[in-house]
Amino acid sequence: MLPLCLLFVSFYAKSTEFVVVVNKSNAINALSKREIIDIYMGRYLTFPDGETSKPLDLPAQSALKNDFYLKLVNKDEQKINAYWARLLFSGRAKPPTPSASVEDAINKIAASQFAIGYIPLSQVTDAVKVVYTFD
Amino acid sequence: MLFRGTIAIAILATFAANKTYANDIDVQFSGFASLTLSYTDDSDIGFASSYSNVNESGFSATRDSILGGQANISLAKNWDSVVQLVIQDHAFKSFDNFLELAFVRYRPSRNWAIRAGRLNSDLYLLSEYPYVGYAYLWVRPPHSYYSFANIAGNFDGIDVEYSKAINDGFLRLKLAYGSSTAKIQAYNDDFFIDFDNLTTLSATYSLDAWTMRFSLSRSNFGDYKLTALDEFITALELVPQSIWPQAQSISNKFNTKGNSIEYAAFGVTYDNNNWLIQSELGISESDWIIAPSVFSTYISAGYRVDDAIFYTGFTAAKNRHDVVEVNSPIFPPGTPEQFSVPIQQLAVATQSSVQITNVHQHSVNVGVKWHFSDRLVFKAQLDRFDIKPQGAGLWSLSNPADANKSNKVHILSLNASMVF
Repeated sequence: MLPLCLLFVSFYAKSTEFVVVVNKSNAINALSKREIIDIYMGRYLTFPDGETSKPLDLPAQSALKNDFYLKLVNKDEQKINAYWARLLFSGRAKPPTPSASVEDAINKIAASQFAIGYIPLSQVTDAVKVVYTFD
Repeated sequence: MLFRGTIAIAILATFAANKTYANDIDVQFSGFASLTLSYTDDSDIGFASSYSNVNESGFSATRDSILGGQANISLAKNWDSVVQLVIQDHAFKSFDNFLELAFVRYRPSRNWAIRAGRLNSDLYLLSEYPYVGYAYLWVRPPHSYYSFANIAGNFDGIDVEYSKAINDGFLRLKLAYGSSTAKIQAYNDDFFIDFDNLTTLSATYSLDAWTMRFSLSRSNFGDYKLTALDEFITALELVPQSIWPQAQSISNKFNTKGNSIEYAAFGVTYDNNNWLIQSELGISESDWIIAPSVFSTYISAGYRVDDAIFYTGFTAAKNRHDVVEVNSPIFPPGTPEQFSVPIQQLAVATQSSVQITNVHQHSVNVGVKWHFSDRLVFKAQLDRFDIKPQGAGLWSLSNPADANKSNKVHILSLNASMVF
């Protein structure tokens, strides 16, 4: 049963097409992958135009979060957790705020002009603006 | 004094932010902990992972056990503050000695950050987070490299950082200036050393799986507090030149006045798929004999299998200069014993003292880090240290007269590290 579940998780993870979304009032209309890495890896705390960015994560230990970081920086969640422990406790930056679900992430992004998040392409709604689509 | 004031502001901000409901002030608490049980098999020589901590031999549950708490406070747009307290087995226990970070930061643009208060140095790859076991591979940062470095791991001062994305990589340049007081113990007495005009320049570049850091640092030794050292220096200065011409020059080597230390370090990490390889190389040059001039290095390689990373490593540290040769005093015929005997004893003590700070050791280790959950890891590590004669400067000999002996020490460590 376990191998079957793993196969399913693996298939699900590989098949997810992600988009990066922001609040509709955000002046940014498009971001490059490089700029998303800068925000999600704590290198810059602002959007390229200088406005504050507040990145959101999907739930810890979810296939979605793990897959997003593999696609973004080729690191799984285990490595991302260690990376953020280094940044947080060296005093450099705080990790993205966790969301309870994709719906929760969409609601938070719709409510905050500074928020940025990643969600599956299939769950995009009119409440948010797509600024990047993964190939 | 200015930096002390900034530290006070940062701490006050923590309390104020905790009690306020103002919209633009936000405080987040987080923490980390390591619980370590370790055993060393040589009772003649005490081990501590840091120069600042209690040296022990045999079983210990406190040697590498750590509890850290941190407050991140957003004060306003572009302004924030961080306060971090780390409880560990410091030889000198005081609030000031447990306060790792307390700074206020201003970011005038996305490329620039200015911090003032108590700051962490980024002289080495791990020196910004040496106590967060969850974040690195080993039970403790490599001893040969980090034991002495930790005493100036934080400082009171100011730093300016410039960061910029360059093609696919990311560059951070930092210039720091300040001072620090290392509070340690020597033979059951408090030993304080001031590091004045501590200046550090570092450059860190990340590109895909690679991270590289190069840094330079310089500091003057300032005042010190150690009664035994005062008495020793005074005794050397009282010896007539004609009897022991070398006494004055040895006295100058033990005195901090006018002496300085310089560091250069280079480190590289390769973290790709299942491989994690890290190495650092450091060189120090010091005029003060108690902080020796050392060449130190380590290399570590880990390979991940599912949730476990198996690793092995090699570390080495060696003095760059020979141990000072202490010449015997020469007494004119007929010198009374009450005059010659104390000077002879002083010469013997001097011989022992110049040997005891000398560093010459290498070690190998094997271990495993197991990711139990997204917040908890377990580690097991076995180290074997080979300490050469007159090379135990990073250890504590139970009998200082044993400085000429070599030691082989094994350390077995079991560790649980977490973040919360």
